[in-house]
Amino acid sequence: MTDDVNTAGTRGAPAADLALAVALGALAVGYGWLTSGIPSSPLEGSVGARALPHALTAAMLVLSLALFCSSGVRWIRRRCRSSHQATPASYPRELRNGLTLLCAGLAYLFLLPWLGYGISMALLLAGAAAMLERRFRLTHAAYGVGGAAVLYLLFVYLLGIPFPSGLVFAAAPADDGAGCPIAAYRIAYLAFGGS
Amino acid sequence: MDVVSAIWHTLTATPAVVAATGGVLWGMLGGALPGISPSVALSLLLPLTYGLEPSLAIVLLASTYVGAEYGGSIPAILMRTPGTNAAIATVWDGYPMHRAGRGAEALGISLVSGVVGGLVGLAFLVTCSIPATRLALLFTPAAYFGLGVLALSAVVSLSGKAPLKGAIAVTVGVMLGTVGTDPLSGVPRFTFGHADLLGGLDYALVIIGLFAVSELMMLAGDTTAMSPGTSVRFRPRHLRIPRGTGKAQTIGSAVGLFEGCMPGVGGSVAAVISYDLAKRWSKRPWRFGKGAAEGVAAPEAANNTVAYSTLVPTLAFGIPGSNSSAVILAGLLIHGIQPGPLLPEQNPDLLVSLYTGLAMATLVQIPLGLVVIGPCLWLIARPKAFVLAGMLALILSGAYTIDNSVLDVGIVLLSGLVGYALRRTGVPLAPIVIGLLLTHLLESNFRRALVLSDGELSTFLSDPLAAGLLVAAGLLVVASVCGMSPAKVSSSSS
Repeated sequence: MTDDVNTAGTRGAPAADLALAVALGALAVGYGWLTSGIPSSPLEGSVGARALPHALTAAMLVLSLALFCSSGVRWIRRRCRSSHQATPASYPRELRNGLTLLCAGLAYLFLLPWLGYGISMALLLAGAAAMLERRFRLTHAAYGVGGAAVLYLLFVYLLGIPFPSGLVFAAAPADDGAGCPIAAYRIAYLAFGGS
Repeated sequence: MDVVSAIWHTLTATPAVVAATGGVLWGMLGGALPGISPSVALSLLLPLTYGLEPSLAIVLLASTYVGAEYGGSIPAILMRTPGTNAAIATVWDGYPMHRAGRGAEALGISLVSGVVGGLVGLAFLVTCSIPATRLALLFTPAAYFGLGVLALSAVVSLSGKAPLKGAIAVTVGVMLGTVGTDPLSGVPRFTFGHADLLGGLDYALVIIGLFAVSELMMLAGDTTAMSPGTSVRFRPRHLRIPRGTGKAQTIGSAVGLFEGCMPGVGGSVAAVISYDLAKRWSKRPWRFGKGAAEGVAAPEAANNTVAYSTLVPTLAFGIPGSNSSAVILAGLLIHGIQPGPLLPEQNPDLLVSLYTGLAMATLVQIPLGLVVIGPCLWLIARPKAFVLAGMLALILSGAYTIDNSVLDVGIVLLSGLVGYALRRTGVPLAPIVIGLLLTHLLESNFRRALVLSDGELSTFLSDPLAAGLLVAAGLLVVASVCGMSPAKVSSSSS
């Protein structure tokens, strides 16, 4: 098991653990509430479809309470210990970079139905690389176009996956997403007020 | 004779050889990238296996796991950065060897020891997987429930310093597993009226999001630059193994066989334990940590053996022995193949293909290992932003191919965000996936046992196998609370 990703848990910062405990408590309450809506069935035996969800709700409540208490004690101890010394503020660059990548993925998700696979993939590759490096270079654009072409060949031509061609190009004849020049023309046409 | 003809058919009439070679190559490249663990390399590949025949898909996945274990040792030896967690023990003597100008020799020892471990593991898999499936026939529903509980307890006990978070992760995983149709009564649960959710959450989407997307987000936040440093010339003559490493390879293989069969224990624990044992039983223990060949041979043999032996509990009981085998199990389930006692009767071709494919994967490691070192070093030296953007593009494209649905891409990104948040708060992700995969086994067998015993809970104690497994599970939890879990033992020895 430990050959892979993050098998071993770690004790996080007390504040983060407190937030996690509260979130898990809320999850347990919501899950329990949804459990009450599970219909009963004449086919179920002595233990019905609600039994496991009820047990999980109880377990999650107990575990989140235990985490809340243990992290609360650690938080108080740390506050007492560090009350005399100011801790240096750390800029959450790690968090920012991680979320940047996710935002690039979300942008791709929203652009995919509109622009089609080829263009949205090129934008994803170029945009994610540029955002992570915090500057835009022509290399990023070339990487986006080249990478999108390779992925397009792999997924659309070789594997035959019907990726969205994009609503923007609805007027393009029988466009399966392949018509990048047509797509570019349509974008430019629409951008300059065409209809 | 039937078996021989089946092997011949697999080698000649199916692209199993291509799948094995491709899987090893992909695994080596993925494993060589620090942070891209075998399970991430497998997750990236999982969507592409949908269109393949089940046997080919499993060969591809299993070969990727095999290749990733060697790939992980390349940056471990040349950059002091383990490409996979299982390669952590390889760093301790591999990097000193590289500093002393023996990097190519260390790579050769790693490759040959991996192949030796692989052959031992393969022999074990071939001889034990079918008897183990017969052993599974002895398991009543109550015993299956006990086995599932034992597996989850083992996962919790491996949660390092925070077994509480391991328990939370398991609970979250089982919660996710309850989405869909109830296995006994057919009542829909947590589907919110969506027909797509009646079959439950798609394992592949959750696994890709939790493992791969969250890993990329963590890597994006890691500001340390990757550089292979001085390059090495890896030649066939470096495959000659120094005397004395045979004992270390034997130790590593033996530890790997044992650890691979334990639910929840895997490559890195086996590697660390085998390193420790090889050092204790060496005639020259003082050389360990300063470039001892045995210090590379033992952990590499161990983590490669685990890649095979972990498939025994996966195929026989549906209990993944490691994180990567959880992804392989998901691959089996996606193709409608149910591991267990009926597997040899229902899918004999699959087992023959798997054995043949893994044998090919083991053997092609040597030529590929010699060839792939250049591309691996090239890949490691690429700007991280480009590598991460490319992998994200591959993940999102692959997620779409599962069901040709944009919604699936959204689920992967959401799972990635959840995984990232959990990792940043120190919650391990592996127990979530194991919990998700084992929910059906746990719940259906628990309720089946109660139906068979007219609702008597004492059935779990009157069945000796079930009682034994449940007691073992309880002892594991107590041991983890008291600080005696294998994870803690391995971390303390490191």
